[in-house]
Amino acid sequence: MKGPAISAECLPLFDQLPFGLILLRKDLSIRFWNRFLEEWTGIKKEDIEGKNLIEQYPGLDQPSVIARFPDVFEGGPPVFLSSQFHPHLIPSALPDGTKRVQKGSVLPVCFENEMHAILVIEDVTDLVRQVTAYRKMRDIAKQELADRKDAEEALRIANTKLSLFSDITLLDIKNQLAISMGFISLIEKDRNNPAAISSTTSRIKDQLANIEKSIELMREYEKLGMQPPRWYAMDEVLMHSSLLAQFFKTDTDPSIAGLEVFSAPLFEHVVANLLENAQEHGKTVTQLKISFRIDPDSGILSLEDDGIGVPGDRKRAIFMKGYGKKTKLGLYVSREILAMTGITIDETGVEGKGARFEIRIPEGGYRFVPASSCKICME
Amino acid sequence: MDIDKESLDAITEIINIGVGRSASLLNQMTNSNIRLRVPKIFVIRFKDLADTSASLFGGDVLSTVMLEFQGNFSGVTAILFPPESAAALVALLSGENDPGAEMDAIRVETLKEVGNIIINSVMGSISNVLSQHLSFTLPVYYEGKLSTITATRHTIEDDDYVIVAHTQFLIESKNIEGKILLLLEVGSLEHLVESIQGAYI
Amino acid sequence: MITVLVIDDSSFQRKIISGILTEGGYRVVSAENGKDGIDRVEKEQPDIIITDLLMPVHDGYWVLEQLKAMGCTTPVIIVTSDIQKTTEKRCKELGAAAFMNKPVEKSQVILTIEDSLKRS
Repeated sequence: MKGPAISAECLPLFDQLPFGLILLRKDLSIRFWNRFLEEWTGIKKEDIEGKNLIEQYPGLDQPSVIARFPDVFEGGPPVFLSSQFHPHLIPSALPDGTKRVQKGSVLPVCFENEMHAILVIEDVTDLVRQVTAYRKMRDIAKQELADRKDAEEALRIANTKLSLFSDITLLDIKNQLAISMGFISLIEKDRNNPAAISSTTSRIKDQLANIEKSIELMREYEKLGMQPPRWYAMDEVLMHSSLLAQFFKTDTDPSIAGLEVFSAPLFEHVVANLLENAQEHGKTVTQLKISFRIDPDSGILSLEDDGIGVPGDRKRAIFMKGYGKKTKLGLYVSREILAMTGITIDETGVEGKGARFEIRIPEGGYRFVPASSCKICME
Repeated sequence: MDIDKESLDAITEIINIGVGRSASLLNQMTNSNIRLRVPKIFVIRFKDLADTSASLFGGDVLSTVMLEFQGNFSGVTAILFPPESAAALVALLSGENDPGAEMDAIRVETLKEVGNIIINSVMGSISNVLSQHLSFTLPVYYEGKLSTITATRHTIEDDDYVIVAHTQFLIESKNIEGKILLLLEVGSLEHLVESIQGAYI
Repeated sequence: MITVLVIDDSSFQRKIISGILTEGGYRVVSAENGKDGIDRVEKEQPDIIITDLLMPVHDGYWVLEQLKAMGCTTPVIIVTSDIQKTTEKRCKELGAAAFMNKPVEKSQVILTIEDSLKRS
């Protein structure tokens, strides 16, 4: 015989064991059903012994269980049935009504001179619950850690940019101070020329006003280091940026309705900068059209005017550091601010027909909110 | 004992048959085709296992399922998975999305069952050839370096043979690697080779 | 005399099958791998091919694909330890005449050869 031998005298012992135990004949009929299983299932041994295990529990009739039994009856290695694949071998409910989670082992044994198998079933409900709870806590902690790291990284980037932009503005302020000092020298040299003094004084006032604007701008930059990126509703952005730029010739396409963009702080200033540029450089601009379209992997916010456009050889230069007036954001800084949330900006217009700035927003960086909260639609 | 190519081929065939059987069962459990790769098999002395273990197993922590067998032919059978394969295999089989997750108690059980399926199929294939009864212990799970794992087996001696079968299989295009180790007591390897040859030739 | 080409990287397996076939009155030629096997097909023009599936470099699937590309109608019997139904299905789709699982039995080999030749 191909396994350890047990006798009928062992059966009462099986009733004392703290787990379920079934002694199976080769034809899968139940030779012995222990007391633990009686308690679990409410089925008395006299009501189930002699019956076929699979007929009683059809859930066991699957290849990962039943196909492995024959080898055991031949004296092969024991079979292990994990709670992952076979959580309810002998379905039974706990006092709270939930299902008991089990794992099992099948071992060969010789009984009454014939090969049998012992199916041992253990209750692992508590263990599974604890592991599941631990996994949940671990996942939450992992997510919190990831979120914190993201926030720290965003802050680090923002502070780097803040430092960069502040340096640019401080340099501008220094230049303006130097110019002002130059004008003061002129006054000192020409004290007896009231007309010249008046003109120079006016220029000094302009420089001081520029310095004031630069200081205001630096204050705005501080937001980069203090506030995280957030969702901006385009209708509000367009309203505020029109005010900032004092530019009111915008024509908003219905595609903008309900659009929100996820951006670093100063997004309104970025849009205002584009409106200011249209006003200042477009020369013949009568209107600036704002629209939105979706590409395969991004959304494109388009600001297109009907002015003179940007010459071909300047399309890249306009985004470079140092280009343009320093009392406003500038396209270099605008591009850096947008890049903080993965947004890019390019000028794609045709010279002579108008400038077109395309702001490309990655998927996940834009969304549409329901029409009821859309102010543009209501106008 | 010098093992000739034909004998090595014979052992390879027996192990292949076992791995093939387990692939069929895993196929039914995962509803995916298991693409088997040609296993590499070699035989070394246990005392030389430590020297080759670095190249065989990379010295990493290994997830191991093993059982002992006794009879006319005795030893230990184990399947060892490198951490990435263990995690990927468990994630695949349990439908989880986190193949980098640690091996907690539930995942250990899952791997134990898979290891049990593979080892049982291989031992079943060997037992069929031997036509002899072997008795087996229940499978156990260990995690650690090979040297730590073998240190727990006090019955192994330096001159015992180790058959190492490096198996690889693809499940849903994920490459899973495992090494099946058969540690055989002295005299058992010769007995195995003779039995295989006797059964077929 | 019917010529059978046996392709298998295992010398042990080639020996077993060759032994069965020789005893059964067949002429046997053999190859160690898929590439060698295809070369032998061209050279020996066997009446039937028995090939392993799992072989290094060029496996049994490759052999089936090559034979199909060559327009070869010689029946091919797959002998493999891979007993998955999905594997058998794939082999049949690639044109295998029959599919046997290892370990093979003498009577099964002879019957399968006769059956495959009858149907070809």
